Amino acid sequence: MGEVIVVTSGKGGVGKTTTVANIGTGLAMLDKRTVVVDTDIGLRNLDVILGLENRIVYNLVDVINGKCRLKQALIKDKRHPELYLLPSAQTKDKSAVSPEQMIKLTEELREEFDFVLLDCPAGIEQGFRNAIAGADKALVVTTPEVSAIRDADRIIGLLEADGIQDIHLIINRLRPDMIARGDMMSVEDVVEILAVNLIGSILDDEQIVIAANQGEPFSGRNSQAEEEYRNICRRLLGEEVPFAPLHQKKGMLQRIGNLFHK
Amino acid sequence: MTAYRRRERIHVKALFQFKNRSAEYARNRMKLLLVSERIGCSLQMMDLLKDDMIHTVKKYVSIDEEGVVFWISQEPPVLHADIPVYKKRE
Repeated sequence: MGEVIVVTSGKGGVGKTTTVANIGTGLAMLDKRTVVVDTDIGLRNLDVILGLENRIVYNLVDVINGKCRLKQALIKDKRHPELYLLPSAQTKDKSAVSPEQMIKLTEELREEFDFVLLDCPAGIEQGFRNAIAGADKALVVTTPEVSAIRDADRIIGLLEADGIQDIHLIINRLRPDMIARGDMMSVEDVVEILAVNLIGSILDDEQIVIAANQGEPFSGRNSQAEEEYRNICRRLLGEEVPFAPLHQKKGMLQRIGNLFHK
Repeated sequence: MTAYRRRERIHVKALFQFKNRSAEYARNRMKLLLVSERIGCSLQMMDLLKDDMIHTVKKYVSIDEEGVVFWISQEPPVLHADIPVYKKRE
């Protein structure tokens, strides 16, 4: 029996879909049978991040409405044999699915896979309710910005009210240079404010944009973000992986500048 | 005198140290905001609560109103009111 994990944030644009794509790929690379599910009905996205947009025949709503069998809608990843995508519908609206139907679907996926990762839509409406309905665990993604943190706190409250106790935090788009000069909240600050268990902290990394452009997350460019996604996967498997301090490559001028700031 | 000296020191520090600026401010804002949202009590209501508490305590003992510190700690949320009380003059 696999584990069902919902990736959520409240605020849009903080990197939920990228997180799902990278963690899904990372788990598959560790030989875990993994399916990533795009639950954002009407605004399909996960397929383009994974570069699988041309292979979609059936989608999540088709499965739920019984238009096709689950296996027909699952798309096998190009590079990782253990990774599958269940795409969302592009035409229907969010009311096409109910939380009960989502629970039934996740139970079915749980039989087949080690990990079921649900990419949750932004907001706290029906789409969010559907996505969290069948989840055992939640990964809340935020950035170190006031708006994202406030929404994350709201989401954590809603998850707890729904009976999901296993909640972990991912802080995305961290910029060590801004943190060093005191113009961005640090990992410690955000964890203290939200009072929830940290599972990963990801640097703001241009490689993420490049990977999305090319439709292949985790392509082995050895960026620090990719390394941290790999660590998150190992933590999800129960390994104790220490949190590496955030650092960046510094130029000569910056080093000299730092001397004066100390 | 002590209070004055402390203020002076912070002032000098602020001139030379550019650290802990907007992030520190954001952190404090968020802490206050989220705790008020979690317990369903707005910041304005907390001010009213503070005034009411001072008013009530004042009826029984004499206190240093300026020195009252009112705060809420997280997880689990606990309301703290530190109210300096004057000693009785014989």
